[in-house]
Amino acid sequence: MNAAPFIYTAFGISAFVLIGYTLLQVRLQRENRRLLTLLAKGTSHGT
Amino acid sequence: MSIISTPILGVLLLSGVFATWGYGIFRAPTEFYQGEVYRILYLHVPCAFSAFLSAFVLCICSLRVLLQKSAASMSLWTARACAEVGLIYTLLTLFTGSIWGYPTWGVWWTWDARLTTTLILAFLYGCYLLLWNTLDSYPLRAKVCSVFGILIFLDVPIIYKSVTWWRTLHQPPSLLSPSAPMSSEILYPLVASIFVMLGFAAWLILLRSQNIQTHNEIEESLCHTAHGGTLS
Amino acid sequence: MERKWIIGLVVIAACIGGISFITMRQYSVYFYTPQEAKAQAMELSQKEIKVGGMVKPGTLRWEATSLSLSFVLTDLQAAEIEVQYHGSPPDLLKESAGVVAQGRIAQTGALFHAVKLMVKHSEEYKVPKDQHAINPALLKQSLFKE
Repeated sequence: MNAAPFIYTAFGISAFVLIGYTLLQVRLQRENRRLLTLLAKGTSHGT
Repeated sequence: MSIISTPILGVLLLSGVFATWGYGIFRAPTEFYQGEVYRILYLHVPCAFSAFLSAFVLCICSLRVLLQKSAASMSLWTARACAEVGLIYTLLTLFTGSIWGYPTWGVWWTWDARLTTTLILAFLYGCYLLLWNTLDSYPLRAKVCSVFGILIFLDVPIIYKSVTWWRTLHQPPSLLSPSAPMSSEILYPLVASIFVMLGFAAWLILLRSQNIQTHNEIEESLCHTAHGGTLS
Repeated sequence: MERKWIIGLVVIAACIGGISFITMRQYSVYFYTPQEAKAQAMELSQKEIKVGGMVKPGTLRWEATSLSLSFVLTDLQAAEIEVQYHGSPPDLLKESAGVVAQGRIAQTGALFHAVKLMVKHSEEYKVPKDQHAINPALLKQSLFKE
């Protein structure tokens, strides 16, 4: 049995999952920071 | 905290992970019995240990939540993050193990003690996440999830010892074994792969827990401004 | 919204319970050793079981045209069982390999009709130049314990 398809599938899918999850979280981090600063501005302008 | 969760560190660690994979695929020697397909070792074992690390941190954080008795704590957000990261790593372990199993054992799956207890770990992580979404916030969610978080960690030593206690298709442990079953040309890159992956997993947990914390801060903020507005 | 999560929880709890139950009941022993299987062949012939052992050198026969495979499963002591299997063998099934065969044992305990063959290897990882250091006792240990 040729090992290559098994090796590439295992490593490939794992890389995809780890990169994808990391990108999601980094994007979420940026979004959250933006929201926080917006909120801070909002409250500092008063109600 | 914020310095550690910078994307730069994450990119560095993940690059390190990919470097160890590259070594495992292209530079590591051929194994005498399995040939080339054994190279999945450099991926499968680090994922498994990362799943165990997540369970361990989940347990510690859950203990802290139960002892601290505070409404919202970093330990609670970290626990929630561990369940998510742990689930991902457990699923990766099962997936890569299955891919490795077919050309070696001849089967994609079997219900032996090692594989079954690892699948159970995945279900346990899933349960934790479901409990989190089902229960209302403090105090019920924190308490129930924290008790569950401690129980999840009990599966880890069972998974590890399963190949020793019972007859299994999966072979006994190769690392930490007195009979030194690994050639050093395979052992050293494997140990490096494990440590780099554990570092990356720790970074993921930190980033995720920070995101959960900020998410809750934002929710709190919105609650306050809503209640502080003229309509209430 | 809440109900969906509770249903999910119940499903997962049922899965864990189900897995544990099925595993405990059907596989109270994951596989029998050749000696155990032969000793209890009468009762065990009633259901599908797994037997684990090693391929006795010189006994592996494979006919590609008829897809028929046979070998003697041994515990390297007195117990031996002739295993017959229809299909292509796993890549790593060779002389002296560890194997877990799933199927039915004859009442006499001398013959085993396998429906599935699983190669069991030891925990060793050796580069070719270290092959002299391979320890056959390790595979025996994990096959024939208890």
